[in-house]
Order: sequence, then C-alpha cells, then structure tokens
Amino acid sequence: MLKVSLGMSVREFTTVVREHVGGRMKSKFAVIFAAMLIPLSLLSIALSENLNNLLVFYDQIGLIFILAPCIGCAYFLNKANGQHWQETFLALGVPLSLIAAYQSAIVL
Amino acid sequence: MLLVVLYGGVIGAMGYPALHRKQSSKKKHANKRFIVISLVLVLSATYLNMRLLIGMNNIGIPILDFFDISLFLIFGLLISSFLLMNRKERHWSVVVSDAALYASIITVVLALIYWFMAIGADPDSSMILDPILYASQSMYLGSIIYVITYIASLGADTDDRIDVGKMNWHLIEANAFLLYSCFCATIDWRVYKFIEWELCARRNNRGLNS
Repeated sequence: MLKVSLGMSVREFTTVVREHVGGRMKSKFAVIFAAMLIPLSLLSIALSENLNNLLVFYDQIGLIFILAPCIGCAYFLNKANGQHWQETFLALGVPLSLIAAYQSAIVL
Repeated sequence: MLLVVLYGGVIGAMGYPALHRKQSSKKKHANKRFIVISLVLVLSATYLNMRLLIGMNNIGIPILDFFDISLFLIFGLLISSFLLMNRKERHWSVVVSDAALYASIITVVLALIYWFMAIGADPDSSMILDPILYASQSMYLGSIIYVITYIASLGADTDDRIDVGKMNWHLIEANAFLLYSCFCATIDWRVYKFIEWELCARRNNRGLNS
C-alpha cells in the first residue's frame, strides 16, 4: 500500500514512490513502456521542431529493413536460448542500421 | 542514410537496459535451428534491401559491386592473424568481431588518406568519390561480419561473449569519423586552399628575402 501524507518532504515522497514502484517496474509491460518512451521522446522533438513536415523523418524502406530482422531475430533468438528481446535490439540495432546506411551510400 | 542510422540508434537505445544485465540465456545448449533461421533472416533482409535500392535508383549494377575484392583480402588477413594470436585466450566470436572492427577502422583511415590526396590534386575530379566508396564498402563488410559473428556466437557454449555495448560504440565512432571527415573537408575546402596559398606565398617571400 502506498502511504503518502501531506506533511512529507519531496525527498521522502520520492523515496516512498520509488520503493513502491520499483518492484513493479520489473514487469514486462513496465519495461516495454520504458523502452517506448525513447521513440516517443524523439517523436515529440520532431513534432515540436518540424510540425508541418513530419515526413522528412520518415524512411519507409529503412524502417522496415531495421525493424523486420530485429523483431524476427528477437523472436527466434528467444526461442533458441531464451535471450531477452532487449539484448537482441541492443546488439543488432546499430550494425543493421549501418548496413542499410552504407548500402544506400554505395548505390548513390 | 542518416535517418536509418537514427532508427538503429533508437532501437539500440530501447535495448539499453540489457547492457548492465547479466546474460539472460536460460538454456545451456542453444537450439541451433533457430540461430540458423535468424542468420538467414538477416542475410535475406540485407539481400532484399540491396535489390530494392538497385531497382529504385534505376541502376544496373550487380550485387557484387557492393563489395571489393581487396577488402576481402584485408579482412581475411586481419581475422586470420587475430585468430592465430588470440585463439587460446578468447572465444573465436570475440576475436573475429574485434578483427572486423579493426579492419573497418584501418581501411576507413586508409581511404580517407587517399581521399585527401585526391582532393588536393584535383577537387573537381570524379576520382575523389572512389575512396568514399571504398570506405563505405569497408564499413558495410565490417558490419555484416559483426552481425553474422554475433548471431553465430549465440549457439556456442561459452561465457566469453561479445561486448555489444563496446562494439556499438566503436561502430558508431568509425561511422561518425568517416561522415565528419568527408563533410567537413568538403565544406572547408576553400579554407584549405587559402591556407595552402598562404603557405606558398610565405615560402616564396622567405626565398626572396634570403
């Protein structure tokens, strides 16, 4: 039970909330939500900077090329040895993006 | 090109909590079938993207033009020498990924040296694009080798794993180095010309005075 009173200082309040929420943060939904905050923050930056032309940040082929192998590998590697999807995303995100980027650079 | 790197960075950042976590692998012996499927998935996505880019840009280059024979030689030699030097201390996957990274960085630096020489000789020549193409092919090959090695290493029964955080950092570093060097030199070319002209004038003055 979360015990919060009006007489608490900010420090006490944050300590109580952290202790209360800390245990729940390990749940899958909390982890996915925390991970989703990163693209959402980027989207908010894009919206604030370039509201009229959001499409300049959109590259359909690049997005599909990065997401499809990442999600597929996250699924299959989890089946293979129980690897968490975050480990797969961390390991494959950057090199796959470089592969796609240099493919387009070579073609250009 | 830069947008794709941004997407990759975001996806990598989504996996950031895994960086300071212990290996989550629960099974002692990995199911190799799924690892092969993952490898096929990544390689077929790479191949499809190549075909798509060629089709979209209406150019008739063969797939082999994405690679350079000399790069295979350099990468092969470096990986072989690293394996010979470290085969007892480290797992092969760590050694191969490190060697691919070193080979990428070395060839990028070599290409940039050649690029600066070419741009100094004739800034309007189409030859100045060749070193950039070579450096791009090098980073491309290095990234492919790293991805294949990483996925293949998950099937091995060892505790000596690739440090993905370090590898990501170095890959981004090499990429930023290449991009920055190319763009920076192109933008500031007039400044370089001016410096060269100044130095020549001072040298001539010194010659006249003495």
